[in-house]
Amino acid sequence: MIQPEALIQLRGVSKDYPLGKVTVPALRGVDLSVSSGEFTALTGPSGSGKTTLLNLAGCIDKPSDGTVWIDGQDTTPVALHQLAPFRARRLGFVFQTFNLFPVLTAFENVEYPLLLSGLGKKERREKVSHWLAEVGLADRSGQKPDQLSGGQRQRVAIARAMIAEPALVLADEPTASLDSHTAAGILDLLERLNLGTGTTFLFATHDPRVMERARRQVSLRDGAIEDDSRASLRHAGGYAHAV
Amino acid sequence: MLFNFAIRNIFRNRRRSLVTLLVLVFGATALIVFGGYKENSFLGVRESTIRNSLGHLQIYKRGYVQSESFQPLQHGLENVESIRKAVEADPRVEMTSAQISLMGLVSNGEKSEAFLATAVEPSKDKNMASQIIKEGTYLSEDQPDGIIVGELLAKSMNVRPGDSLTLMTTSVNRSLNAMDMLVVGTFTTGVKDYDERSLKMPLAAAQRLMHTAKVEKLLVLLKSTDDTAAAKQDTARTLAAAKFDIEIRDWQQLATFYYQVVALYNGIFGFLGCVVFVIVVLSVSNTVMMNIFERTREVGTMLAMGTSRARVWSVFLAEGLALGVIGGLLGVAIGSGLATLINHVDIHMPPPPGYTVGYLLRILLEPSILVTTFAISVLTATVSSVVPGIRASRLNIVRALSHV
Repeated sequence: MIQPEALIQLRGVSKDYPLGKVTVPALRGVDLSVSSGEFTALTGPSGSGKTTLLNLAGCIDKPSDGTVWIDGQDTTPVALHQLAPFRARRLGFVFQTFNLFPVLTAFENVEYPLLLSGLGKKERREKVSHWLAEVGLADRSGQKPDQLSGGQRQRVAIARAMIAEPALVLADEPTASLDSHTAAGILDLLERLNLGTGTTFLFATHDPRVMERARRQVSLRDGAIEDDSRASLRHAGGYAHAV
Repeated sequence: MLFNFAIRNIFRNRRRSLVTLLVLVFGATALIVFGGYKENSFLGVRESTIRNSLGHLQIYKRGYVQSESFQPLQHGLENVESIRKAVEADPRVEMTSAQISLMGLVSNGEKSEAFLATAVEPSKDKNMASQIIKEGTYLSEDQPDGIIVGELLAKSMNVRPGDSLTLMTTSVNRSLNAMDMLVVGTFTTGVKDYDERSLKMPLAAAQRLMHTAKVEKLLVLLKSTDDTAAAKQDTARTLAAAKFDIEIRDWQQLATFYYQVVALYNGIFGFLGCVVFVIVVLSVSNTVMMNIFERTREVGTMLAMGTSRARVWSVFLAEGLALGVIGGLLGVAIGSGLATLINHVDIHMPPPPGYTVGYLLRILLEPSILVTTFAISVLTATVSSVVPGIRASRLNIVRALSHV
């Protein structure tokens, strides 16, 4: 049953990867719903299927079986390259290794998604300045990624992910390359943006700091959901199995 | 921003881009130097063919073209002075020169050899002479029985200026006639076969030898080769209006050798051009492929963020285009510089096969060659990026993002 209010809905999703002559299952019949505004962490050991699930929710990979609905659209039958405008308009990405364009300045990196939307130069400039200020890098706009610290790079990446006002931001291990202090700052920022803009955040993470801050934690093991708990229940010492 | 992005990416890996630019510069320089050499050779052969032997136009009595190889003087021009007067009234005409071609035997009293002679008006022919005088002097109106002889023929006949030779040929009434002539000079045309057989004599002497007052043809030399077609048309109209029963051929109908040279050079330079093209295409393709390989994760990020395939493709196409523009501009500048240097230092080339005289290496720097070279550089570099760009735009996003 598709829930109309859910931003992400995965129904019976499986994903197999060919490895030589054998097929390795990464996800096995996963059902998951994520509503708008959630701040959710996908957790689990390496190989549990977190990143695969994140890729499917980000419309950059296709399931072997099942359906993936994002923002009310069944993305399953649509070719990935045809989903490019949808991704540009509705999704934002934050990567572990920041993945900024090294030849572009912080300003230009943040501006990039707006170029895809065809926004005018003046509006672009205003929005980029706003988002650089929002992530605390207004004075670093002219610097290239190699002139920025890891935390600053991730802030630029977050501004880039947020600038097109997406419904969903997908973050794959966003704090894994950062020290604790910087990671805490990034998590503060992400949480603030989630609360301030209502944007849904979905993380794939090993990091206990992220798990602690997430208001929902979906734990995967061997390609299946093992636990799905809400923060209030976790903090009260119990777990609710939502799925 | 696309082009800006491309330029910055080019300078990201400076060493590799430099190598690619060097290949482009090499290609452009080769095109300019070889192309300029080819154009200069074409121009040289064309103008020397026209000015030294054919003229821009040749006027004959009607019917000559069909019977040329049998009895040319049966269809010779009788009223050449009237024709000359009408033709020279055209301001585009530099001069006219009447000629007879004849063949026969030349003898020094001990041995005889076949000869091919051109009978000319000495004062006119002096201005369009294709030969270089090696010994003695050129023909003169003051020496009505003087001849100049190809240096290899002179050597064979063992004569020098001041010696006599007997020329024997068939007259227009098919009788055999002979005349003693004075060798006033020896010459070379640079072509061995020609120097072994040819001689030149005054037109009046040839007419006496052949028992005729006619000339075979009237050569017309124009001030500019570009006027050939228009001058030919106007001359034909003028002479037809004056009731002269003539026909006209231009140099393009007569210059078989010129077109052979053009075909030969086009073949050689076409092949060289293909080799250069392949080298440049492979080099630029390799650079773009290496760029894509190194930037796989970046391409994956672009695609994940919703960049269309066409845009990713155009990023790499723009990089090829930028390489082409920079390489083309550098190539044109360096190629022009090298060509100017070659022209300045006077490089002497050895004689081509069949020739006895070398020549100075000259590179013609025409704007059309420079523009074409630049266009080819840009086009080649851009085309070289097409396939790598398509491959980049079709990368698997997940695999690209996890590329190390």
